[in-house]
Amino acid sequence: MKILTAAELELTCAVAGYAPMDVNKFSVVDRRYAMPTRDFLAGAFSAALWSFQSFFDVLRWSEEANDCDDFARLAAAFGQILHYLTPNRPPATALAIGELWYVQDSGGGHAINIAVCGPAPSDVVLYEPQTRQVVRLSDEEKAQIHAIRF
Amino acid sequence: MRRKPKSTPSAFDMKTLLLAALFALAVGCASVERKGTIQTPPVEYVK
Repeated sequence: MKILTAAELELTCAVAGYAPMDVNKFSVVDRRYAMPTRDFLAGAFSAALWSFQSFFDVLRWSEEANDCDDFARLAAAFGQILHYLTPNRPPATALAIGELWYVQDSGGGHAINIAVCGPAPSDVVLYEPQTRQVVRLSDEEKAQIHAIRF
Repeated sequence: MRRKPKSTPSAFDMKTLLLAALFALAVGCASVERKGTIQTPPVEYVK
């Protein structure tokens, strides 16, 4: 099973174009990361995330109380729970699903998830937890990332 | 004047506590039933 160190994970994201303007706002807080597959993220994870959001009745956006950063935080934490519960989980690893904050082309800040689904820069995936779909950022939005946390 | 001795909760207090606990349990169970169940599939890792 492939594992990334914190430095490798940060470098992979940066080469893919996902790095905050202020390097101090890139937090990689664990030492080693296991990577979810892209199919898992788009499939079983999304279905399970819906069940989790539904269970706690947090599917609907609510200003400040349940907005984009809350959706992103919940999705990342839920991924961590699934990782912890997985029987063959690689020991002493975190899961490479994090949170990313940026300024949208349409204006206004937004928060989504970022996942590293392989060692290549092309394996870095962005995920919108409000629609539970893989998304992309424009080059302008990539230049307006102001924080990433794994 | 003799002070009233400190004691364990009276029968009334215990009944109130029990009712409160049962109410909390009932509310908790009701919300679990209404919201369905949480799926917890194992993570598929990059090999």
